Formats: sequence, structure tokens, C-alpha cells
Amino acid sequence: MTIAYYTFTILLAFCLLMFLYWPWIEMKIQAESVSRSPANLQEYAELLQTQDALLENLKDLELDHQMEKISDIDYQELREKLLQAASDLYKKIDSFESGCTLIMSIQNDLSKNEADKSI
Amino acid sequence: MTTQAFWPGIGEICISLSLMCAIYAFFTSLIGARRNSDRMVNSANRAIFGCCVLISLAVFVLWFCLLKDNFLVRYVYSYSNREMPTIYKLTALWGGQDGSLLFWVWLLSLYSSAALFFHRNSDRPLIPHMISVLSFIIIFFNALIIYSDNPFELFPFAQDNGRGLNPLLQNPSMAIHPPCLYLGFVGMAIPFAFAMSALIGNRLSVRWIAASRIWSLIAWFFLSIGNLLGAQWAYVELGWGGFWGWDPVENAAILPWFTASAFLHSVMIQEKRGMLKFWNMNLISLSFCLTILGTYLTRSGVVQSVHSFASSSIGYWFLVFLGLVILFSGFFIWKRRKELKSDSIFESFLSKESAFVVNNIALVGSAFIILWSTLFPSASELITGTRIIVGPPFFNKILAPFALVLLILTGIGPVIAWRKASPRNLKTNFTLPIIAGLLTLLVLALLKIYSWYVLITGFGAGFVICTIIMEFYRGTRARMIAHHEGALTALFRSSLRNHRKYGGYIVHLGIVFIFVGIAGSVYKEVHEFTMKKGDRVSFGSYSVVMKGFDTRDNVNQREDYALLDLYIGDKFVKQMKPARFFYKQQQQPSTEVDIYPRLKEDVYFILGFYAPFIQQATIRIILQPFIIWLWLGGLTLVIGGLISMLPSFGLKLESSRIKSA
Repeated sequence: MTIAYYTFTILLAFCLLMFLYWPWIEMKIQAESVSRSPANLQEYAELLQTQDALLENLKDLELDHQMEKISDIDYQELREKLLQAASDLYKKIDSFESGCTLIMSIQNDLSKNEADKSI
Repeated sequence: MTTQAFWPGIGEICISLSLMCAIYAFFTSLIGARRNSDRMVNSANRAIFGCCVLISLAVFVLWFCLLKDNFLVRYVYSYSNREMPTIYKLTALWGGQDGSLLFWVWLLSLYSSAALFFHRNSDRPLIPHMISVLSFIIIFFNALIIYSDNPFELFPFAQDNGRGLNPLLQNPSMAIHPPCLYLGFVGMAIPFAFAMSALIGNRLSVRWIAASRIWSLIAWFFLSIGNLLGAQWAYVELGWGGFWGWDPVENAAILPWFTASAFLHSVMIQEKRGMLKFWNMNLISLSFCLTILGTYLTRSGVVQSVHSFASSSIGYWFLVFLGLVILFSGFFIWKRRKELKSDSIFESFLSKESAFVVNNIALVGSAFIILWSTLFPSASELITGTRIIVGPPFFNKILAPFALVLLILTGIGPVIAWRKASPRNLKTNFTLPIIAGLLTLLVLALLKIYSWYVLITGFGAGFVICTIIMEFYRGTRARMIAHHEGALTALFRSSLRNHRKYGGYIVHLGIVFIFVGIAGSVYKEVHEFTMKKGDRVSFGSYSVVMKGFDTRDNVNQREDYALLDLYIGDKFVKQMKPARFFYKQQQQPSTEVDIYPRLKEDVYFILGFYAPFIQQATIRIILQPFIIWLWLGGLTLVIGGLISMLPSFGLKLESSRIKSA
């Protein structure tokens, strides 16, 4: 039983170490594709999250107005503010998406070139 | 090493490795965040998953030891025995201090892994510091288990049989109540981790608040179920006829519920108007601190309670941890105070924003009153040397006004206008609810009910139920006009589309039912009779005939039943069997009540003193008006909570767009 105990402990510790070290092995395999633009991706994700929150706010505002929970003046003022914010946000997202498309097409071209060279 | 010692040894190894994993996750995530290294953060993330697997293994090992009656393990000996049914052997995991700490850290590791997994794409920037915060909490609990309360500690020799679980805990509610409470308590760590991560990384945009809200809702949901099941357990198991005794441990369990409820309301103001950011951050931290304080109170021996664990030195560990959490969160909230400034200002007292602020003051005020009153006996003993007890009448008297304000606000909050309510808005939204409230008052007055608490509750119930019906009606009507749909389709689709809002209204309906159940206890009637076979007694519209006694004996316990035929008028309805059990192993008696539930009132039977030789017993019968509404309210609250927690279509859309990017 003592041997089984130590074998189990060593095996468990070894599996754990491999599991923790895996990101270094994994990222060596696919290093380039992941590290290309993580910061940009995060910014893009945050823009989309803000967009969702804005749309949610607009939807609630419409419902509150239909249910007479907000005066017409306040509704107009808040709606304009939210629409302005949404418009600014969409511009940012659009410029971001066109930028991303450009990066992705360059990446595709690069990988095509590398594939051609290897052939 | 024997087979009996092998498995506990494996359990210990798992806990030790999990501690190392958590320490690794803590430092790696901090360094990873500083260096902006994805590899390090990923590895730290994996370390949390590793902790989860290792702690799960340890839990399964302890369950295995409990099921196999491995009495070499001190914990198994203390909380289980050979005669106990399998279900209670499994629940013995959280029956004692050591096992419950292991259960706590298990849930924490499961919660942490789930949160890190589900938010891996949508909240990537928050992940590194979230790992640091969560791993720090895991380190604390793991260290407690290893250095103070180890459930795998062994005796030098195996014992023949164990002492068994406390008979009071051998109840079906106890199989669900503690896990629900723990899920609520531990769950508060996730919104806390999101909040702290947002503060440390200065990422105080919309996202952390959305993530914190959903995890707070989950924790709140389980806390609600846990507390309601606790009340139900007290009602059927403790045999005193009540459901809430303001016991220090009960109070500790409900404290974070108040602050989490406050957060779930005030977070809407932040989402819609960009206000109360500083306050919300404090509420999240306060909720987490209260879960730690509650655990400290339950386990330190500082308060006296039937529910608390045996006192131990563990309390000092919790105090130090609590101090660190307060210092840490306080420092970062103060540091980011400028970023936490409101985007808008309060424009009128008659607005939704103000209603929510008053709601928050009432909820947090109630929490502080309960906290202070719970600690007062210990504080008075420390200062004067005399323990001054604060009893249920004090709590009931001082908290009743807060509760009634909250009930009325439950109706005002959803329908009052944002920013500033116009006279037209007030007239449109409040005329019908006020009429409904007044009609309820009239009905109560006709029934000759004059207690001011019951009258205001009645008014509030009518008022709130009317606002809820109005909200559903108006939402459906708006959708019918906008989308040209039938009434039922519009109701279903508008509820589904705004499930968070309508789920909240159903929760409000549940709260109203709970208030009705509590208000009914004002008119509780207690009758006590000494009866022998053939005796007949009457009270109200009921009469009871004693048919005799019955005794059953098994290995675990002896059961003495009184057989009582219950009649309403002249009509026989049911044979009631209140009992007294005697648990042989623990040499402990227990009262088993029998209840005849009705919508109007429960007829609650308790077998008091029983003399088998002369076949005579004292029977206590309690009429509990409207108590069933308390449990129906709990059920409604659970349904509403589930509807609110439904995943949003918007979130799915967002994550799919991120993926496609």
C-alpha cells in the first residue's frame, strides 16, 4: 500500500506539472497566430460589450416610454444621448473591423506566401 | 500503510497539492498580469482548474471513507456511524467543522473554475487579477484545512463504530439547506473577484458590472433558498412552532442576503444612469466581508447558538483574513474613487433612482441592525462582564418598520419614472395600486383585524400585487400594439425578452407572499392539553380525539407516536401522529411534529411530555395562520430567480461576434 501511495502521489504531481506547463508547449506550436493582436482583440471585445449595454439601455428606454414610465421630454433627451453614444461607438467598431479585416488579409497573404515557399 | 489509512492519505495529498497549485496560481497570475504574458495567465488559470480537480478528489475520498465506515478517520468517527442511512452519511460531509471547510473550498474551486471558463473570452482583461483574488481565498481555506482542521486526521487505531451525526441534522431539509447556504456564501466570492479585478486593473467599464450582477444573482438565489429551507427546517424539526428565532447563526446567514439584494437593485441605477458606482463597489465588498464574518461567527464560539460548530482557534484565522480583505478592498476602492464618480446626478426625490436609494438604505440599515444586535451580547460581555441577550421581540419590533418600507418600495420602484416623476406619471401608475391597497385594508378591517403591522402589510400586499399585474398588462399591451401579436403570444414574448425584469417582478410577488406568511404569525394561537386514550378536546372549528399511542424500535432510534384524529366541525380529516424520537447512539431525544397544512392556517401538533406507563401525554397544538404563504412565497421567489437568471440572447450574440473576430 505504501508503494501504491507514493506512486499515486508522484503520478498526480507529474500530471499536474504537465498540465500547468502546457500553455508554454501549446503556444510554441501556435505562437504566431495567437500573439498577433491580443490587445486589439480585448479592445474590440470591450467595444462590443459597450454596444450590447447601449442597445439594452435603448430597448429598456423604449419599453419604459411605451409603459408611460418616463416623460416625453426626458425620453427624447435620453434617447438622443443614447443614439449619439451608439453612433460614436459604431464608428469606432467600423474602423476597428476594417482594420482587423486588413490585418487578417495581410496574415492570409503571409501564410499563403510561406506555404508557396515550402512547396 | 493499511488500506484504511491509504485513502485518507490520498485525500491529504490532494489538499496539499491543491494548496501548492493555488499559491502557484496567485503568483503566476500577478506576474502574468504585470508582464502581460498570456502563457503565465493561462498557466495560472489552469492551476485553478487543477485546484478544482484535486479538491474534488479529496471530497470524493472523504465521502468514500464515510460510506465505507472508515472509523480510523477521526472525522468519520465523529459524524457518522454504521446505522446511519446512506443519505446522512453523505450529508455528514458538511455536518462537522473540518468537513464543512473542505466542502466550502470545494464549492469555491468549482465556482472559480466555472467563472473563469465562462468569462474566458468576454472578460479576458479581468481574468488575471480575478485569478489572483480567487486563488488568495483558496489559499486561505486550504491552509485552514491543512494546519487547523484536517478532516483526514487519523486515530492510532480504528474504532468499532462512530458517534453519528447530530439527530437534529438527520432531516431531509438538512440535505439541501447547508449546501444552498454554502453556495450562496461562497458564490459571493465571484462578484468580489470581478470587482477587485476591475479596481486593480482600472477596467471599470460596463463589463465588470454585468458579470458581477449575474454571479451576485446566483449567490443571492442560493442564499434565499438556503435561508428559506433553514426556516422550514426550524419549523418542522425544532418543534417550537416558529420558523425564525433570530439566532446568531441564522442572522449571520441572512446578513449577506440583505447587502446582495441592495446591490441587485442599485446595480440597475449604475447600468442605466451611470450612478452609484462607488456605492456598488462597497456593496460587493461588504457582501463578501459579511460572508466571512458570518463564517467567523459560526465557527469561533464568539456567539452562542444551537446551530454553531464547536468553538475553536479557527476564529482568529478568519479575523485576520477578514482584516486583510477589508484593508485590500478599502485601499483599492479609495484609490479608484475618482474613476468611480457618478455620471449623472439625482434630479428629484420622486424618481426611480431615489426609490432605489431608499430601498438600499432600508436593506443595508436592516443588515447593520441585525449585525449590531447579534454582536451586542458578546460586546456587552467584553465591556461590562455581563452578557445582555437581545431576544426575538427586539428584532421584530425594530425591523418591522424597515420591512414595511421595503414592502411598499417593492411596489413603487418598478413603476415610478426615471429622473423625475411628473404628476401625470404618478396618477397613471399609482391610482389603481392605491385603490387595491385600500380595498385590502377594508377587507382586513371587516375581518376585525386591527394590528397595525398586519394592516400595513395588507395594504402593501394589495398595492404591490396590483403594480405587478399592471406591469405585465402594460408590457403585453405595448408588444401587442408594436408587433400585432395576440395577448398570450405578446405576454410570453415580452416576458422572455425582458426576462430579467419580469423575473424580478415574480420575485417581488414571492416577497409579498412571504410577508403575508410572516404577518399571519401575529395571530398565532397556542393550545396545550393533557390527554389520554379516548379524550376529546376542541379549539376554534377543530376537535381532536386521542386514539392511543404507538411505539416503534429500530437499531438507530426508538419512536413514540401519539395517534390523534383531527376533525373540522364533525368531519374527520386526518389522523395526526406527532412523535418523540430517542436516538440511541447519541442518547438524545428529538421532537417530530405533525402538521395539517391549509391555505388559511396550519394545525401544528407537538407531542410534549409522554408517560408510557399511564398512557398519557401533553399535546401542544398551534394554529399558524397563513404560514403556507411563506413557503409558497419561497417557491415563487425561486421561480422568479430562475427566470431572471436565464441566459440573455444578447450575450450569446456578443460572444459569437468575438469568436468570429
